[in-house]
Amino acid sequence: MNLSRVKIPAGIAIVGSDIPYEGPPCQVEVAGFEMMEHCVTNKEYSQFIQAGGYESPDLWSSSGWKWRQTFNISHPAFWLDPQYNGSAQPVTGVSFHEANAFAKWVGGRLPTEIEWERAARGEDGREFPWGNEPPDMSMANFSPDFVPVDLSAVEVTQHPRNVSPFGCFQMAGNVFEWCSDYFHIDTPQRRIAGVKLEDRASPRRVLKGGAWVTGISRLRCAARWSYSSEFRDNIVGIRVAFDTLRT
Amino acid sequence: MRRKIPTFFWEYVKNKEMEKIIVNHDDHVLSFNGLVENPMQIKLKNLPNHIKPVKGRRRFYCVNGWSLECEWGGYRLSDVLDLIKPKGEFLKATSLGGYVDTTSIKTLLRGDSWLVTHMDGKPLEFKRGQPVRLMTFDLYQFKGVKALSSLEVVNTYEKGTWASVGYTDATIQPYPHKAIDTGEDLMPEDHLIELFKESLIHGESK
Repeated sequence: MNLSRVKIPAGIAIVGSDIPYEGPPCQVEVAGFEMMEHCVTNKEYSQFIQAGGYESPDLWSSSGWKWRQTFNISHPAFWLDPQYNGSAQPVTGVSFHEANAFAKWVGGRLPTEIEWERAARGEDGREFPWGNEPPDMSMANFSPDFVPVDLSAVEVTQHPRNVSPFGCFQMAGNVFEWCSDYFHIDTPQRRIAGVKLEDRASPRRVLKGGAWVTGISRLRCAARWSYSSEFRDNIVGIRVAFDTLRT
Repeated sequence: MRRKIPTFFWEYVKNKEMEKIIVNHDDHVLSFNGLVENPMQIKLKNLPNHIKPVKGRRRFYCVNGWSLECEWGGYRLSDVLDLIKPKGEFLKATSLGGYVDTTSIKTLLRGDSWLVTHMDGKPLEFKRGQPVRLMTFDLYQFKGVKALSSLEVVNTYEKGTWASVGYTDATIQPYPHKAIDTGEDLMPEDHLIELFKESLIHGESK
């Protein structure tokens, strides 16, 4: 499948913040990679379904396949809901397992939390993908004063100013994005010791970027959220990372 | 400090006519039923004949990222349960508008949940869940059903209204929440951070 990607060059990622459990802020060296320009849309995800993605155990982790079989999962949780299934809306209602399988199917993987922040914050460690200015509703789909406005995710091409320095759109608001790291409260502190990927097992995985139901603070690039790998919420989507081909 | 409390009253969002349903506190009938030894239908005004009212300052958390501490008045859920004597594991709370949520009794008692009728000394307003609501202080408040109509004791977990639109994990997360009462970004209290680490309700709310 031809998914629009942007190149994220090798360099120093500025990750974390001074907020409790997000820090301390630190600089981490990251290899080059590519990232989807937008979140995966329902139209793109439908090709995964049509290609038999839910019937192909080789695309799934062992725990993911067991989960899929146990609950007889054959499409995302909100696949039939017109509020969420527009072709250009981001696919939502996908568990970590489904996100992981889709990423493998397109030849990529889910980004690590550090890679996600690198893609969102660029070289200068900005607070939001577009800079340090807090957003209004023209900039991103979120909940000013904590009350949702749109009651759904908007199409992935809306809010064109919501773009990171490397060209990734809508990394703040609309839908949270799954990362590959397990979630632990103390992960940001371990980064000082060189931990780049949280691989200590946990029931939870990292989510980044905020969503249409969240206030401004969770749209910050350093903000962290988490769900268990099985949860399928209408505020969570997928953005795939790709290893850069080395020649 | 003047405060503007965010409002996301699910039944109201779905049906603006709901606001016309203004229930008189005294005449409101609460139903306690299901797997209980003493099923009851009782007018709210008569509840103090059976249970001692309580009041106190407590903070609750909204999954959308804010919290609010004020003085609540009402009844301890544990006292209600002592009255009706549950014989099942879960409590299904239903609102006048049909919003439903089910939580294990063990989890609700862990956080000393209340049935709240008053906020800062005044009867609950419509948007706050008039005339009585369930308040869960150590879970996100989408578990705290507003405009409570009935509490039914059941033996199986059922997905609730909000869970059906996505939210399934009510564990308060280790993240600053905007305190509407002070304007500050506050971390959840230490005992809530510990609960998160233990993920005590993991698996219950799937």
